[in-house]
Amino acid sequence: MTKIHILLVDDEADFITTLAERMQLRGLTPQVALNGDEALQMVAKLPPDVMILDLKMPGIDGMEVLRRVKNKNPRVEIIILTGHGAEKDEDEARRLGAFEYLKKPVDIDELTQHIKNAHQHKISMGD
Amino acid sequence: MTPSRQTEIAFFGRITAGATHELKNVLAIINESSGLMQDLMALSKESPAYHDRFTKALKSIKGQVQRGQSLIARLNQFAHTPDIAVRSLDLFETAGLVVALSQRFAALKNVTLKVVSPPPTEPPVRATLNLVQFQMALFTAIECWLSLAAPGNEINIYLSRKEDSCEILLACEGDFPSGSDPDGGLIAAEKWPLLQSMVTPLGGSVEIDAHKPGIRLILPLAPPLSAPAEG
Repeated sequence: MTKIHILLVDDEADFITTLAERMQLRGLTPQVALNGDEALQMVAKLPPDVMILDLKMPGIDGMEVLRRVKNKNPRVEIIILTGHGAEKDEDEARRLGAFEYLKKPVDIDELTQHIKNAHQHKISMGD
Repeated sequence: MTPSRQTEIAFFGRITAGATHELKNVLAIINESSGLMQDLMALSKESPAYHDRFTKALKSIKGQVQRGQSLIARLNQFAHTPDIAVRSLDLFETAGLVVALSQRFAALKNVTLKVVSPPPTEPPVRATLNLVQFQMALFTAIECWLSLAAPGNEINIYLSRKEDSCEILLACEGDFPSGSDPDGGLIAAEKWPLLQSMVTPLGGSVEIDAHKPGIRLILPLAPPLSAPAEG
């Protein structure tokens, strides 16, 4: 399987580091950013194939990260993974180009499948 | 509904939505941490003491996370109710949320509460209503029945669309104690006047259906002209 470059972005350190560890046990090698600013810097250095992005974060929030990344790197596939349940946020995220909108907590195998689908979509779009 | 009352409801909604967001994060961390323990146990070639007990405990944690997730998702959805005052509603979906959040009250009375699914061939019953007012009216109607229902009764909620209105029938099915008068009891219920006062601003009415017996809410498909504008 092609190696997928994954970036996980969430300010809940316990959540995101444990999720990363579980992904590693499944053969994936994600990187982690603990806030929006750090995520943008990492994307500027090396755009990931797939980004898992929380919405509610202090500083630059997830929606703004989504907007900026899609503006500069439209081929990065972004999956929103949030505890936030407002329909208008889902509509806005999809309008800005989010590949998928998932709510916490999510089943790891389900999330892994969404990542593979997002990666496949990126390839099919001409990566 | 007065502007100050709308502000109060919006305040409760905003605080509750924020708290449920945090609770989702709590559940997400428990979910991932217990999931990691399961992953590591599955990878372990040794058979540690208490392996079965740990597996059982982790399964229980997973089940409770799913239970909490379901409840918090509904509570979060409910907390976002005041975001838009008047909106087009799928009444089956909206009634389902109220019923889900009312299950605890029904369980305390040993009463079953459900929204009866409409036939799949029928289009969804939709109406443009003030969501908060509709939820309050439906919950109050449920409370009226719960004050009278006997253990083992079923409160079934039927939705239907008429020419220029929609009807929500809350029928209480099952045996009542001999000599009891459900219809008279509903009208005498403590919450009945409150229910009547809640249906009025929706532009609707409430009546007793003596045959079921049931409470029938008759609501317009669009809000009365005096209702607050969307937003």
